[in-house]
Amino acid sequence: MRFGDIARLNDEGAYHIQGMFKTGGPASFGAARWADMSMGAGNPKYNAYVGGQAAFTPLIGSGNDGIFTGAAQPGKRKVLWSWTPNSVSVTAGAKTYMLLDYLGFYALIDGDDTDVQIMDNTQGLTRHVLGEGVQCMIVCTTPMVADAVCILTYRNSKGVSGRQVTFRLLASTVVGCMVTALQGSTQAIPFVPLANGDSGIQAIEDIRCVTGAGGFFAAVLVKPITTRIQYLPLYPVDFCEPEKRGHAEVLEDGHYLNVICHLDTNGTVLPFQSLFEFNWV
Amino acid sequence: MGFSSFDDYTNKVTGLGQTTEAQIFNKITGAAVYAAGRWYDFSMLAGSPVANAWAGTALNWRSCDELTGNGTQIFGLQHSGNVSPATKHATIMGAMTAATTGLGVIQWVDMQGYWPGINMNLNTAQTLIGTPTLRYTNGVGVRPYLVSTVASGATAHNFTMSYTNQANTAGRALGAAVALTASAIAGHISHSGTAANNYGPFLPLAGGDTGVRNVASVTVSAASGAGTAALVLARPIGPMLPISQAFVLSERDLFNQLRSLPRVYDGACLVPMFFASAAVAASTTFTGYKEMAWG
Repeated sequence: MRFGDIARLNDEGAYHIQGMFKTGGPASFGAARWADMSMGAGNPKYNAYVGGQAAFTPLIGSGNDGIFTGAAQPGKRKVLWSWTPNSVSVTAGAKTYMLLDYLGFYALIDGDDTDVQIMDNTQGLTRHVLGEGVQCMIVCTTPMVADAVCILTYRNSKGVSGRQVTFRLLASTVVGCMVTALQGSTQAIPFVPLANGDSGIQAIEDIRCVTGAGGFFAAVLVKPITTRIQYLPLYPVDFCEPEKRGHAEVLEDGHYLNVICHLDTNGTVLPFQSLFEFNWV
Repeated sequence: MGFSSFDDYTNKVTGLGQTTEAQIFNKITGAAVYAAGRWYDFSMLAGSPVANAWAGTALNWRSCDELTGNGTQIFGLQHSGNVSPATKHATIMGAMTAATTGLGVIQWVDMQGYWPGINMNLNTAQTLIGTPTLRYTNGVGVRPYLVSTVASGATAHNFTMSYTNQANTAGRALGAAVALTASAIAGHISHSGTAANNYGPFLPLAGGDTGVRNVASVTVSAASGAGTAALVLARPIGPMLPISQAFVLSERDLFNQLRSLPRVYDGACLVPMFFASAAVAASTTFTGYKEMAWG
């Protein structure tokens, strides 16, 4: 695919313009924390992480389940032309947004259970199936009352089982808040750190909360697509992928897109809007 | 045609005067507040150019162009008439608002025409009459949207339609279940918003489709209680233009930024659509411009 091919797609009608607008969702979860905007009211639909306990549940985009990128185009590949996010809130400072392909999740992991919780991988990844570049984010789905040490065991993108990392779960009373930090740190990070040499997760094998965190959380497997930083509220980040980065991100069939955000200060990104342009080739 | 180099552009614009210069628009929203997260059609607002009153016979196609508008109101932004065999291209655009609540995004479209008078208080199929003459061959790139022209009633209702795609395949259905907004004010593109099955700014096409040639019928799932709407066929022209602050002009250089130099066809009926980032107060003023050149 060459640059000219992408630029021509609009003339050929192979485009889709999509708005996103979140009126509710995680807010006031503390400074320098990350939030999962899929758990917010508005458009696209609220994602409640409904699935069997500790069983991998794939997420497949359809209509407004995930950001709508236009109807499926059999035999074509969709690409992201532009993404222009904007927080209309003036209560928080700089914001960082990441657009993710949500591949699936393990629901209802018990923060009170200090035994090893075995994950059910009867179903596996349906996109990025080897797990290359796939990350895990931990999302609070029922308030978690205490910081805790957590050990995650996974199969990496090379198919090696038993890979293990230890990290910190951060307490949060806010549903949709992301609760990962490095071990010994209280600074939130979006994704669970991987073991040395690993570049992705194919499946989570088990999770153990060494101490009780309380509540429940979801372990979500995602593929990051692109990032934006908004320095001032109300000023949209006007960004065209091919213009600024020289290429357009390719979206795998079945993609389920949504956004996570990071706030420098305590507050909210709400209302949060985005405008997207997609093409297919 | 178009421009082969910067020198060629400079010569055609500066030496030969092949430019529209800045074409100004000024639009004032009506008495109703715009809701955040929804799209609106600015063509029917008072100001300059004049308001589109959706003239025409109910359910009959009405073509729109630059010089005659809809045959009654000349409501599109003027751009110096036809220039064929040269081709005309947008080179720069800007917009601002005079109200702190007037935040949002403008998307220019070339309105091909519309079917007016769709009854939003009728839950049976309404047959649309007439074959559109489109500026885009086979309707490639043309998208439909439904705009409320008289406020709809309070009963919830969904929307379906049967259309002919760019490949001349009739009987195509929308690519998703679409909910319209109850009590949609005039000007609201009523399938856009924050509800679960809202889509916008355009109605979602079926998979594989890249355009619309014609629409045979539309159906509203429940009588809403009141209102009329128009089904519009339009083609976006160039990228979106965010408006961030009152009295601060947002500009987009279409020469250097992508998609660069979007084509403006002879006869294009240029109207702005608006995505509300906040609740826009009644009687909010928007001003802006668009400049085009040809070669």
